[in-house]
Amino acid sequence: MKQILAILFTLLFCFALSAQNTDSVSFMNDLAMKKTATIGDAVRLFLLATGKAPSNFTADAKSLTDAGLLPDRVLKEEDVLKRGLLAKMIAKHLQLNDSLFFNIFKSERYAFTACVAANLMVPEGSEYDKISGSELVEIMTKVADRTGGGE
Amino acid sequence: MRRLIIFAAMLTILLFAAGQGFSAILVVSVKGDASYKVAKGWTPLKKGQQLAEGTNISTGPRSKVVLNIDEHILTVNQMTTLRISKNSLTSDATENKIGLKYGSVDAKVKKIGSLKTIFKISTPVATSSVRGTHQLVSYGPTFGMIIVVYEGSVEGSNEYGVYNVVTGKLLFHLRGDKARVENLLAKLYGNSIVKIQPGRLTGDEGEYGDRNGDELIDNVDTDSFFNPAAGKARINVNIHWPVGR
Repeated sequence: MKQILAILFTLLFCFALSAQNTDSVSFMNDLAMKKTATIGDAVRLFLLATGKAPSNFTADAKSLTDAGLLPDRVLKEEDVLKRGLLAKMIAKHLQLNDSLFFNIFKSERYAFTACVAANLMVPEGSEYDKISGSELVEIMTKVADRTGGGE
Repeated sequence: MRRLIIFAAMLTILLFAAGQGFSAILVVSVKGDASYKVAKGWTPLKKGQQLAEGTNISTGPRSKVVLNIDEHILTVNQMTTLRISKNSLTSDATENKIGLKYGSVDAKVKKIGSLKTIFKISTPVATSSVRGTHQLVSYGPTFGMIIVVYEGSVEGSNEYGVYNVVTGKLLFHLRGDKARVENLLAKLYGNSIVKIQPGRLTGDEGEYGDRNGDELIDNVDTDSFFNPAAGKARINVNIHWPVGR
């Protein structure tokens, strides 16, 4: 009887180990409740939405900087995320080359207009605006859909 | 011991018999990270799992869940959170209500015999009432609620007087900061090369016609409306040549 119970507990433990990861779901739901998203939120969600596994902010930010998606300057995880920075990350990642001014100037302002033209962001607001967590989730969902994440 | 076994067998049979005709939410498939919550804490969702009314479901990035809700198929797309707020099945009606917090769902609603079918998907700005159709409903804080109908027709409405029947290529798009839906023909306008608007319509009537799709046409005398002898029609032709890529 003791042997049977031991085998049963072992099997149950194995099932628990093979369970899905609820971290990304918990992270997203907590993020959707935030009034202001941070750069750390954007970096983590960006990696998740593009199919990569995030680790810690320093390593994640470096990988995005090396890919040319983040500016090569000191960024803090808790810094407030501005719409322009997110727009530039997205415009570069999706290569939104239809915008003439973004192609020439590569600025956050024209990255924002390029994202609006690509129906990824609404036209109201500017590149200096803060973004709520739910808006960040909404925008990154559109980005993920474009890169095949919805299949 | 024998009596105990017989009692257990009878109880099992009764439980299965009582289960027939009860409403059911079954997880058909799970891809990626998907979880459910009843009270506190997210728990991974598994294929074949039965869920109850009041369950919250959430999918992570690059994830998808397919649910069978009383023979209706609901696909929960990536980065979506919703709540199954009502799920009931009686002898004459099946009623299901989904509260979409954010994200998108694809609903294929089946007409089951003579049962009255109520299948509603609510978002913070409006509710879609499905009538034996296939539709995609999405919601986000900036883009608002969008309903795309692949088959059949859907009513989009809210408590502030918004009411539209969406079918065919019409697009229901209501933003949270607007009192009225966007142009129902927006999806067509982007793809059309000719717009015809009779000269007898005023600017307000033309705008009303744009907002309500083709309902205006049904309410006029179509013979005189389309009679070429009644007057000249002005056609605006906008040709956009594709830019070489």
